Amino acid sequence: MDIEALAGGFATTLGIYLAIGVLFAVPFAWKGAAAIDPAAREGTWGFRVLLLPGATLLWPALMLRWFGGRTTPRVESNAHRRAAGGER
Amino acid sequence: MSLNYRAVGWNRQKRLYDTALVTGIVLYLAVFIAIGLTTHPEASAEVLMIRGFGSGAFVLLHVILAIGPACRLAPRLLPLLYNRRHMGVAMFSMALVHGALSMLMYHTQGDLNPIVSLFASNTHYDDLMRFPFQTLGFFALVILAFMAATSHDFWLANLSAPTWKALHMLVYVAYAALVMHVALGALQAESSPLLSGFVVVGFAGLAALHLFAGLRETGRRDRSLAAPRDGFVDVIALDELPIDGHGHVACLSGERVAIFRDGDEVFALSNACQHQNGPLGEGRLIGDCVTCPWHGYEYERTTGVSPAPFTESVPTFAVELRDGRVWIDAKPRPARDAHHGGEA
Repeated sequence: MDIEALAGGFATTLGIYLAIGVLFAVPFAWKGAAAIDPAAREGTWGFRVLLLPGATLLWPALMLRWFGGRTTPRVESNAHRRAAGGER
Repeated sequence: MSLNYRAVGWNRQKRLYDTALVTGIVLYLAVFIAIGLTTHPEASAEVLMIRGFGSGAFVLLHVILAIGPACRLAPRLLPLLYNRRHMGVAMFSMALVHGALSMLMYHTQGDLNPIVSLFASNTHYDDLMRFPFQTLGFFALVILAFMAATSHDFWLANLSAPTWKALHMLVYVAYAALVMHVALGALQAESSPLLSGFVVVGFAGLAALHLFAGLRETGRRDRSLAAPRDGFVDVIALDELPIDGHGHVACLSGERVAIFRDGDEVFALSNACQHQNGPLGEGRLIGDCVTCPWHGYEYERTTGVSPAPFTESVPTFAVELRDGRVWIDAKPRPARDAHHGGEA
């Protein structure tokens, strides 16, 4: 097994993944966050800057959420919420 | 969440917390480097910085992992939990400086890409004692990066709580990788048993804390209640409920219920805070609201709804008092449909 070749492939993949992430993170922090969570619509600039690292790392999941059309976060379900008959 | 997001919702406690945190980090680094200059005068400034930031991050990770179970065992430590995320980001920042300096010092001198150099400069992947410990540190740093980058409440809400919690539980994988990173790296080059002793004591201490806290939780969960009568379950005698605003926790309908008494009135809410599943039953009834002990989220005691402008809510339970005992409806009510708590 050629470890150097494997490591080279990993480094290239990582670089591409992070480059796409950076390109995605800026429009996500600007527009996308507000599209998937109403509480982000009037988020401060500091908050938007804080979104950049997470959006860079998690861009595939966020892209699915953003273009999937869901506009509010999902409330976690548990036995009581299910028994109460709602997601609230 | 409900209000507009901000970078940090500063308040006096967070400022105090962060001031103490930064002061502690600066003091640690100053003392570490001063001792290093004395005991290892041959060591370069870069090496002392790498060791200082690395060891500081490792110590801080122990503190972070200890806070959760320690608060379970001693609730007066809860203020430490309140702003633990800032401690986590500070720990990651120290680990990042350690990693960046290590990469600069050891993997940027040749022709290879630094990442390739990291993985390929030592290829003894089949030999435990000569295992390339730096790769373990790299993977731990990647996990910590995901955690630090998603520490804001926006991520908790939008990744969904189970995904967010699963991601942040990876801290234990990172810790295991870091223990091996230290054991196969720094400890191999250290002749004094002191460092090995610190690592063993840190690991054993964390394991014991988690074990004791887990056993205590199991004991609480296993207390069984009698079968329901008319849909209501006999939970506790009214006189046994605290009257100072503290709660009582019982297991009902597959989850824990937080029960509070105010005079002759009793209120029951689902125990899991909507924010991070904090244990409401370990919080306080203050005025008309139950306050979560972790981050101060509030729920109106009869409806389970957070006061405006917040929009969080938890299910509630109808309560009846029968012959001096508290009976709780086994079927929870949706938060917004709740009318009244128990009345004497």
